[in-house]
Amino acid sequence: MNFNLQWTWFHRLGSPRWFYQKTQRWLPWLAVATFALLVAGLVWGLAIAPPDAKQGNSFRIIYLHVPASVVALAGYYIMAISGAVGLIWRIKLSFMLMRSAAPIGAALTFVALVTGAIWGKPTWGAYWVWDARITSMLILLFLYFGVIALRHTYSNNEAAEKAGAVLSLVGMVNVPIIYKSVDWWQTLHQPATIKFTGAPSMHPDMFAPLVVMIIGFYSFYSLALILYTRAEILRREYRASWVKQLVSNQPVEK
Amino acid sequence: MANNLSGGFKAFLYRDLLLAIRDRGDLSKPLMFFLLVAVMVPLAIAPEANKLSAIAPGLIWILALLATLLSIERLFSEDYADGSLEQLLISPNMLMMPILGKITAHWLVIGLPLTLLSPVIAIWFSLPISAMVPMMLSLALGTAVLSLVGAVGAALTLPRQGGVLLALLVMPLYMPVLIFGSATIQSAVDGLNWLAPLAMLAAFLAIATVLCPLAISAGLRIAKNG
Amino acid sequence: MYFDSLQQLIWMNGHGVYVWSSFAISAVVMIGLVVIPLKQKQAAIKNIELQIKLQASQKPATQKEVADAPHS
Repeated sequence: MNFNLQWTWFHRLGSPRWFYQKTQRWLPWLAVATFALLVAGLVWGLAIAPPDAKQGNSFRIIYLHVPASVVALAGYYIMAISGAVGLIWRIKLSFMLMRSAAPIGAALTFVALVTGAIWGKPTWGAYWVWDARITSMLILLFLYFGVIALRHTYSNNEAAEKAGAVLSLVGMVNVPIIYKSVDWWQTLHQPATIKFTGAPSMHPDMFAPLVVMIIGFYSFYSLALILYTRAEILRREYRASWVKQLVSNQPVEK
Repeated sequence: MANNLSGGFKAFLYRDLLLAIRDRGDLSKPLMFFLLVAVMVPLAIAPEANKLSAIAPGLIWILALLATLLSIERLFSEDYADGSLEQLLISPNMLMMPILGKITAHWLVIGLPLTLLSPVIAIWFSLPISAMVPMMLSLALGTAVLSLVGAVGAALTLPRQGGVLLALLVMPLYMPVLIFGSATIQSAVDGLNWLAPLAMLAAFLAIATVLCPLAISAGLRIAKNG
Repeated sequence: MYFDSLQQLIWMNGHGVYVWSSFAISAVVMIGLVVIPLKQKQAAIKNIELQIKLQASQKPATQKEVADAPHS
């Protein structure tokens, strides 16, 4: 009896309709929170925090580069895990989330690469340095591109999603290998300033706004993911009666 | 049951080897490519020994990578086209074994000859003799990984074949192999410990042997069933 | 405030170009990541409205056909 109830809950969780309706309520709050976090973090980091002793003010790019990198990498895992859940439990919503995660992750990886390159110029004198960390980010971008491109190989939506999920999982195994290659290679790139096991090597005055920005970027990622998924739901479920009701009740929405 | 387990492997190994040998053209094309591009490099860049030997480790590996990419697409395409893939999918054998058999055949036909040809390239690029053995070991292990990972891409792109997508999918996955493969050769040239990066290649081979067939069989089923 | 004036904030001891261009590119991408799905949603809704209209225009016709068909 209990088991049945649990499964109902689980499968209800996977219903696009449930997702759409639930997010309808929470979306405005998430948007406000994201905006607040990002603005607060940026003002703090760009205007209030002191500059780095060696790098000067260009160090402030860290408040964009690091959060983007962190979320871009996490986003790949989110994409792969959504794919895995979709493959194992055949949950359509999970596949929709995976599909939405791809362009967002790719865009954030792009931001990380560009901000990293811009940061490199005043710091190391070159826009691009082929060290392991930057190279890993570039490889991550291509991993994202691969998942996005694979979608177009299959005319059948279901097959495209399953294939994308398989590819994401294969890439997911590769990601820690790439990450680990940072340890193996002597690199020019700064060692990770945030080590979750030890004290950060940055001054707390500079570290705190970074944490705010990272949380803000995660919040932004969730926002974007929900927005993309909602659009995907409407696109795919256009035949469903709940969708038709929804649309006819709100003529010419924003 | 035990019969089926290894039977599938050997059967498809012999089958693909036989098919490859019968069609000599396919067998030699990637190797010709390997040699031809190697000839182009001194013509395009510089014939000086010191310049060539500086880029040799990475270049040899890139050539091996490209040669593998050229050939891997056809791993499943003929079987997909003539229906034998469908037969494979509904057979009672574990899918892993025939897949590993086919990939082993591919390595024997592409990766191994590449490895055996590599000393020629090494001499052309003035690579020191001390780097020969590490180079061949890295190529032997690495091309096996390239075949395994390439097969994943081949399986996933079956419905619409056309080299570029396969390359795009598979290149990011190839990069760690490329890194450690060329590092093995470079370490040997520099007199450092080349067993370390070689061990990484061996680790990659172990992981790939276990995980790639899973992904490949999933990809094959998706391609067939839609 | 670390900076004494708005001008200093923009100039950032010569590093302003780098910081603000990074900011600009990030802003463009992130705004895009919000605007694009909203536009997609609008397009999807328009499509659904179209579908509803199509269905509505077909329905009365079939009912009429049923009414007009000779009773056997």
